[in-house]
Amino acid sequence: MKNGIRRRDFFKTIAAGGAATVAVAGCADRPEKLIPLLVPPDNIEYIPGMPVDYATTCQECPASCGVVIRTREGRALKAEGNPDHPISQGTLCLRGQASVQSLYNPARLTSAMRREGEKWVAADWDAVEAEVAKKIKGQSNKKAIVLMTSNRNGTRQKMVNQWLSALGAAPKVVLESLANHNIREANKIAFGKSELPVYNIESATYLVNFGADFLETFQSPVRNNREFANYHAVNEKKAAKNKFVNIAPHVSLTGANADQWVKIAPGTEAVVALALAGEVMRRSGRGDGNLKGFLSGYTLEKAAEASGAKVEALAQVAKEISKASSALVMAGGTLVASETGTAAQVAVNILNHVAGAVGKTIRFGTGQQLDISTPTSEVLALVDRMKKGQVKVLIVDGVNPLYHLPKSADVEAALAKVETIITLSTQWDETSRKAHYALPGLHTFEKWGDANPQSGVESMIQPVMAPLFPVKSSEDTLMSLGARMGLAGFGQGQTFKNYLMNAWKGKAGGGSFDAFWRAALQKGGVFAKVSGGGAALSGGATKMNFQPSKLNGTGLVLLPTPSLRQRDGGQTFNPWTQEIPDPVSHVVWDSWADINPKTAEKMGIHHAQQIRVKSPFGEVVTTAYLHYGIHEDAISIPLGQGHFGSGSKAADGHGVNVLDLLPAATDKTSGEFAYLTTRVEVSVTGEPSFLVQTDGNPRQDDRGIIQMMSLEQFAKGEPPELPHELESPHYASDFYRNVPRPAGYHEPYRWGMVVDVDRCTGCSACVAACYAENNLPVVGKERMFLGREMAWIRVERFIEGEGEDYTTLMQPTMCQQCGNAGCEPVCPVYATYHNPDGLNAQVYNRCVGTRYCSNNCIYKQRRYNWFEYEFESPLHLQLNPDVSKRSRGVMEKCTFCVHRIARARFDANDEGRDMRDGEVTPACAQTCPTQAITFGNLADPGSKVSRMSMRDGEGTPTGKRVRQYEMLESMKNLPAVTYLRKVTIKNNEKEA
Amino acid sequence: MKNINLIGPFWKAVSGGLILLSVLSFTPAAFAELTDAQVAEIPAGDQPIKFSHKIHAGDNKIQCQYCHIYARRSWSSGVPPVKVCMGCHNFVATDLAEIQKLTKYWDDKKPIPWVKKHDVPDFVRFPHKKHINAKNEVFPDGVPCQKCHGPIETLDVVEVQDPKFGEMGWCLKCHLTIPGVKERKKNIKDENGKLPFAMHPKGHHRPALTDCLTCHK
Repeated sequence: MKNGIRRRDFFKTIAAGGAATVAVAGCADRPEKLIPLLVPPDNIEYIPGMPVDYATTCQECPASCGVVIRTREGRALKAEGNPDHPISQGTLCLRGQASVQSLYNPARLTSAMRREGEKWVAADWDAVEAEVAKKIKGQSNKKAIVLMTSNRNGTRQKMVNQWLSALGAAPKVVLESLANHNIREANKIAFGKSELPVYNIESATYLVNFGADFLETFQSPVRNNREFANYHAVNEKKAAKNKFVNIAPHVSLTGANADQWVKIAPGTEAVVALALAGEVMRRSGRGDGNLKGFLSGYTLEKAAEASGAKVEALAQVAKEISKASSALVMAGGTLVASETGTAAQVAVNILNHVAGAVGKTIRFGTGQQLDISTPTSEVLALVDRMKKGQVKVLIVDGVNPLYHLPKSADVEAALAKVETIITLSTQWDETSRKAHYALPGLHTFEKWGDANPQSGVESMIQPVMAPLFPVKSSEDTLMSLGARMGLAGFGQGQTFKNYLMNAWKGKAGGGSFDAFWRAALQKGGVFAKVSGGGAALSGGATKMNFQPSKLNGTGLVLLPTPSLRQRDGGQTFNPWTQEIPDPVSHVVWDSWADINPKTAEKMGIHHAQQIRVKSPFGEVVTTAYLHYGIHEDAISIPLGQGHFGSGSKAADGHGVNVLDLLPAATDKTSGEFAYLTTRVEVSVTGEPSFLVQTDGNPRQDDRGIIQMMSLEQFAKGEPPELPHELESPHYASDFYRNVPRPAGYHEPYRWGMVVDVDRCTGCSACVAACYAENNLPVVGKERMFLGREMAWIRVERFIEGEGEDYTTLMQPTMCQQCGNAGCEPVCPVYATYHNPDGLNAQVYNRCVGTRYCSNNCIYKQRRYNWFEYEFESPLHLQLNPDVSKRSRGVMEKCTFCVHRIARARFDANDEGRDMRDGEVTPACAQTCPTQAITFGNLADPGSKVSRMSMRDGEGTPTGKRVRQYEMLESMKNLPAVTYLRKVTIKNNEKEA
Repeated sequence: MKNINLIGPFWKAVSGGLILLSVLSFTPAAFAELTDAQVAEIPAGDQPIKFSHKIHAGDNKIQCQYCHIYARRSWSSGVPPVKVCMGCHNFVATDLAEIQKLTKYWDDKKPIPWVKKHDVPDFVRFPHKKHINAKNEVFPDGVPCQKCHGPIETLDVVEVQDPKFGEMGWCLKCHLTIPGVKERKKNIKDENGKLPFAMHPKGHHRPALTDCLTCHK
């Protein structure tokens, strides 16, 4: 600069040279077209360029969270939780965030089709519909017509039932891989109530969980996450924290959040629960004499012997349950779903009964309606009928039995025997490829409907945009088929919307239906509070066989576990669910097999080695993942991968389907599919494996990236000692000089964030929300392997402790928007700088891609566009027009959703004021089911973020900081993100 | 031009449905002057219909925002819905060949593929409404449309008038005239040693009008 050439002039000179080349290439912008509306809509205040939000319901899983879909110019862009909805309360999980990708799924079926031989031929809708109607009507034995549908309740099921009975066909078959029949049946046996109660985690003071993955897929994950965080987060005023004990053979995300893991052998849940019940009863005196007699047969010692758990650990849990004012024991998921899964649930019911949970934390009469599925035993019987040729017409409505039932059930052979298969699915999948006719359905966000996930919660489903393709909703198709066949109650020209409105007429009460309907649509449904009550234990509860069921085969016990990201495999088509790492294993785009390192050592298996897993029913080849969070006698493979016939690039050919290893077995009492049935032989293949993990080093090595403190330290108000690397850094601490900002630089805003690590469960919803909001490309497995993922926020995971005595620490990590950033001084083109709002701005137009900034970022938050990434059509329709789509050669990173700040700021300015606290929320904070992320203005001492972070806009502490810390503080980068330490409960077994 | 004062009531009347009445009370001098031959003399652009801003906004003094209804409400000004055109051209100059082109689009239920002339790059957030509703010391009545778009009301064929339109320096030329912005950019402190942060007359802090992130997405 002193030598006479200014930086800008220098670049102008270079640019002039560049411009000449450009001019020769004739690279002028193509003229854009301005396409006006013909007639502006009159029912909404439609303004081009302004978002319009619609309330509807997410149907990615049966939990049916209320969502608000943001649309722009008639395209759905992003799903967010509906704040008025009692289940989601404004937040959403990873799969819910990815629901927009199932709307814009490149593998969607786009028109009516007919299969000719192996070839699918697009055809006129009416012609196919008429042909299908003729086929169904022409079927003389109406009982040979079967309709398979998905586990989503609401008025649609009423219509389907009416349709089937008018036709005279067999009752519908509802498929669900993660069913709750064991729980319902056990409640019937133990309490005489055949229902799924609401687990009120929030109101409990002690939580024991037998394997239910309630933070991932079990029942209602968004609500569970919220309630669990409220339950488990440290109570700042009382300096108290509720304890969560996980009793299971495998640690998934839910288990990783536990304060204590009691490792038990697979299938011994019932014995352990009964032994705990006996001990709790002895200590608390609850329960009657009969029960006492029965439970005397189950001692802690016997349970310890059967399960391999320590007696002391079990005794401690029993003691703590009996002391707790409001205990809750949960059980469920695939780990408990053995052939005697119902018995395990009954045993847990007995434990809940003696713990006094029933009526308090478990309330009957509140009815979760989220499982209306047909027991798998009946589905398998149907498959047998199909094999015998007794099913002539099969209508497949949004389910994929060929993938979701084990290979040993041989659904493929069964489908081959069916004369006519009609698929109403929205997308290609294994089953719809086997169909003869396709009358594709619409995605939830394009159609009408309702859902009733819980008593009192009537959730609306309304179209938020016009259908993407000229197809009809499956409900409308059925109704129109009904009209063609002249079924009673199905007139010509009737639509499901009218049917739905008629069904809702009864709910309107006295007033005008139109007003009621509009209000329901606006709010997202009609919500009433149902409080429910308790239930008495019946004598039949003790008459079950509580011994572990016998397993097939030899070797390690196979534990198939639901996937946080893909549930049972229904969400694998959405690329975000593949690209976002599993928070515990940090594996992407693949299956893996958790094996205990001790077992692996004995078997000579190394981490990330390719292994062959063989059961009596089949074999798969996958990759070993050494993980202390699994029983020595077990191996765990997640569900959801191994699609082969969906035509979706995101799903096909990735990982293995663990169901290939399982027999078509079901629970003896409830008929639910039994996951825990098989032992497998594991051997090393010797072939190289290609497992991609994004975690790098799972150890912190004293860097203090994620910090924790004990409850005692918190109670005393003493921050813990800093880890070695932070206390005495090996680098010169004056290297990073502080750049002083002039007074008033950060007026009136200095954006900052507080992340409460104690509340974070690692559910990764924030990551998916960021992908949805900020047009992040999906790069695929190979590029992930090269470290070229584009996520602007990641859930960092570190393991503390040795062997099985370990703690999993998780923390969402985004650009820290440093006040004294490492990236800024090294940028030669001034593309990144500290802006007056305290943001670490990244100007894409200036960036020339030197990547110096990335190299100098101590948080590894900068992402480089190595390629022009493709958004496969029609996924590109999801792109947010408020955010630039970055091109090749440009560095990018988290912006604190600066476009949201801009909109909120201009809206506030329109009213002649500055923004208020809480007026703007970035996508990650908005969706967080546990509300672990708080965003706000550090320059405003009254803002929530200032109070929580205990610092002002310039980083000066405003009070005693106990839980607050900044990541890698000693580097003096002055991050704008403050973390709150995780508070751990010291687990002292000797006290018991 | 003595009929100008009739224009306002005329539009209200049309939208109010009192069509017949207004057509009767309307002296056709202002609108019915043009013939196909006259229209033919107007230079042709690359637009699908020979639409003249001069005739509409200049000769007939129709307010910009009568047709560009979204400009004051939205970030993008939008382009008038075809219904807005038809609001008048159901009755006005229906015999002209160019108007019949419009009627054909309307009858076919097809939008008119206008060619975009004033194109702000996609990587910029340009809120039209903030500019039109600015009402500050420099622009007490908001930024006039002509400030950026040029003398539109004199143009038969709209082309970008200022060759620097849409360049960053061109935007900043105006932003730097807003009080306080230049001082802040140049780090000129006030008497208290603080950076000035001029308040908007409405009572809020102005966004940093020279900050990259204010405009760049």
